[in-house]
Amino acid sequence: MPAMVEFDKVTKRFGSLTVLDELTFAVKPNEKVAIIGPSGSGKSTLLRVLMTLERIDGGVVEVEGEPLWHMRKGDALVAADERHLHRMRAKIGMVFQQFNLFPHMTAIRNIIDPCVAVLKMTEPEARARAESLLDMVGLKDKMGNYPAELSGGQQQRVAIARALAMRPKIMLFDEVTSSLDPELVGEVLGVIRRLAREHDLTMLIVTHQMGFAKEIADRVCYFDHGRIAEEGRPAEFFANPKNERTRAFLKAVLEV
Amino acid sequence: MITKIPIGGAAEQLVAFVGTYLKPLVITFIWITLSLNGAFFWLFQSLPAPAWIIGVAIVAWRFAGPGIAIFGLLGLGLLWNQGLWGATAQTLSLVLTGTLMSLVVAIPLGIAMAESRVVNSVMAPILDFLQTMPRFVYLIPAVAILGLDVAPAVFATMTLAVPPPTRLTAVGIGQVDPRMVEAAEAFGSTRWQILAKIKLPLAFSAIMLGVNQCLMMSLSMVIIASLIGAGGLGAEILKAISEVKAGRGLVAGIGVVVLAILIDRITKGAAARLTRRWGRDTVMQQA
Amino acid sequence: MEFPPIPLESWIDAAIAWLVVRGGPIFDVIGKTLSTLELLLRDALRGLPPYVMIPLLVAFPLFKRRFRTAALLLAALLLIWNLELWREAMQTVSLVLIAAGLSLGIAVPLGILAAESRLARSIIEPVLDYMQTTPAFVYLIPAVLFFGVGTVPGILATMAFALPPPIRATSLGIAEVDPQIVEAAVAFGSSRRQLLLKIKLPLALPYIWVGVNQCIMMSLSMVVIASLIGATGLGTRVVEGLSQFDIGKGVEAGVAVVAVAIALDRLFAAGGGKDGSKPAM
Repeated sequence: MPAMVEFDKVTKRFGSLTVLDELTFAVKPNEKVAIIGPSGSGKSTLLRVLMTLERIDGGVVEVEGEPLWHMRKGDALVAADERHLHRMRAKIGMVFQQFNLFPHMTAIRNIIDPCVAVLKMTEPEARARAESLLDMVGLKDKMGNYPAELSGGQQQRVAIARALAMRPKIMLFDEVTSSLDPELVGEVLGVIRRLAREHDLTMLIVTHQMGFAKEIADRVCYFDHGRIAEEGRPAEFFANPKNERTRAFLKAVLEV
Repeated sequence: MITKIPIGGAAEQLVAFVGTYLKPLVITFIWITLSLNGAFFWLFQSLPAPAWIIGVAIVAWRFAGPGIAIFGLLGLGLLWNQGLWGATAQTLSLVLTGTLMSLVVAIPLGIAMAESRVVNSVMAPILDFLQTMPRFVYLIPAVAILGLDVAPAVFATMTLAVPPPTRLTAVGIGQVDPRMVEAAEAFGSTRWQILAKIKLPLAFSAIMLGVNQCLMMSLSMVIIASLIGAGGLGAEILKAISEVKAGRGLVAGIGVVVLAILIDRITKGAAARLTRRWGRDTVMQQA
Repeated sequence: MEFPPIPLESWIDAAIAWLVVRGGPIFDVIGKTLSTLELLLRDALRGLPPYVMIPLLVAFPLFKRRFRTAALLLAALLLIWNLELWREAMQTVSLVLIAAGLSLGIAVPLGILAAESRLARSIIEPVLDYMQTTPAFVYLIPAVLFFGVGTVPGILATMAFALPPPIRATSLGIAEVDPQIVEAAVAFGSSRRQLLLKIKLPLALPYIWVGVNQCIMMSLSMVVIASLIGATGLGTRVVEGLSQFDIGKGVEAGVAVVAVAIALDRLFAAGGGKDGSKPAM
């Protein structure tokens, strides 16, 4: 089966700092990958590159066998134009650490407006989809509220619904529980857990919740210095990490 | 219909009262403004125009950079070349007189507003009112009490140029970190020492901004005061408009813009430079 | 050593003469359009007597349950009526609204341009600096040169004078939109146009309202000054007071201008802005 996402020797630098160092990495369709590692190791950058929010400095990223940052022109690869990026973006949905709901729109408008503006759906279609998604994340009664009137957990659930509304093939979760109060983490993880079980979605999840990673992922990748230092099935990975640094990291995280 | 509120009558009576009973004060004011304005004008005439132009360019270079220096050289040179140097000197004398007199009132008033809640609550609405009144309303009582020419122009200028530095002085002092004041109190400083050694230096940049705005307001009002006989570039503009001499009017107008930009950039530059020095010497050490 | 004077004046005179001859029809069209607009608005504002207008206007903030605003507005309007300056005040307001409307029509697009394009910003910024340093009186000169004396040059000078604050406010408001929100919108595939219309502009709205308010206040102060070149209204009464040495007349008109300022400020504060957290969609 061809890979859903493929990174081939991808390099990304911020000034003199190399955040992705010739990263090679592939994700199969429908696979759930948890990405862990110390902060600054390049985990979030990996997701942001996939979402086309950061340009790459070298290598090739492919989504469904099609280059993300390049277009095929005859035999040559040329830099992607805005139209190509726009088309590729539609395959991918992202949930952010800071929710990033549009503060001037109610919960349901946050979902309807992108559907109408980007997918060119009619207003009633979009509303029906938004309502069923809000129902799925358990927020149907909050659909008329503005983001500022919702708790962090509720905002993040709206954000998940908003990302799903675009019917992406790949969902990216960037530390989605890191800015939540501890008692609100559960409700958000619950929604993601259900998504993972019930939908055919490829998921890349950057997280600090080791228990969650273990439970939900098909594969766990440990990121260090812009590369994957170790990866494996969750059971083996957590029971018997081979890499010295992985062991140190897991020890530090699990002790907290 | 209710009778008209006698605002106009009250204003007339107030002006009459000042004219009759405060005559000595009025005469002193006229004397001070005339002497100051005369002194400034004499200063401008004491050196030939090129000397002043080059001097201004050097100052501009020091405080606001080469761009403004060249701008000053060309702009003032143009005014001289167009035979407007005399008018420029007249305008500048009036601006400096108005600014000086305004600051003499504004800075103590600003300090009083910062230090006393009562003064503040009385003065704040008065300043609001002064700033919303259309500018040349002030020309009317000025003319009624002080006649024509320099004195009423300076008085009208003060009504417009006093509020900004007053506010900014008060705000600047109000924003001084209370911990520093506490520290000074702990050392046993008197109220006067705290004001002079701590609050005023730390409010310096705000006060300098006030001086800058005071100058700009003065310039704006001095031009309008040409309506009541103040000489200078404003008078040139007025004359040109009434004689429908487009070129003359625009050249004088350009002159006003040149002065405005030079005054603004040089004082802002000077304020920034002095504040930086203050910042290194006092604020940083104490922070 | 002295240079002969550059014949700047005659150059300018020639340039203006050329422009007036060549651009005559354009100036005519601008002049006619503006004076017709002004006449319509003035008649509309004066059409209703004060005892109808005042309750109508005060109903605005009352409807929004802002009682202090309503009281202040009522006091300001009653004062104008009481001073028997209602007609003059309405004339001044009609000039202010037209000038501020034109000004905003130019300023908001320019503000957007300044926020979105680095090149535009590098041109607009210094021009605004110069405009804001230039004393009000100077704006009258070119207006008079091209349009003579009357309401039209008054409107144009006022429009130019009131341009900078709304440009700056719009551009600042757009620049202040949280980049993370913008990023989220990009991730959802919104185009540049959608990003601007659906995300940035609505979020910048509170800032733009501040710009609108400042624009109106600056227009009012300039319209009063423009009475010197024949823009009639309250300012005319001040000028008459000055030329006739009539202190009472001038001061009363001045107080009426302050009342108009308070009324406009309160009305536009009630119109929007202040509850900017939830701009209407």
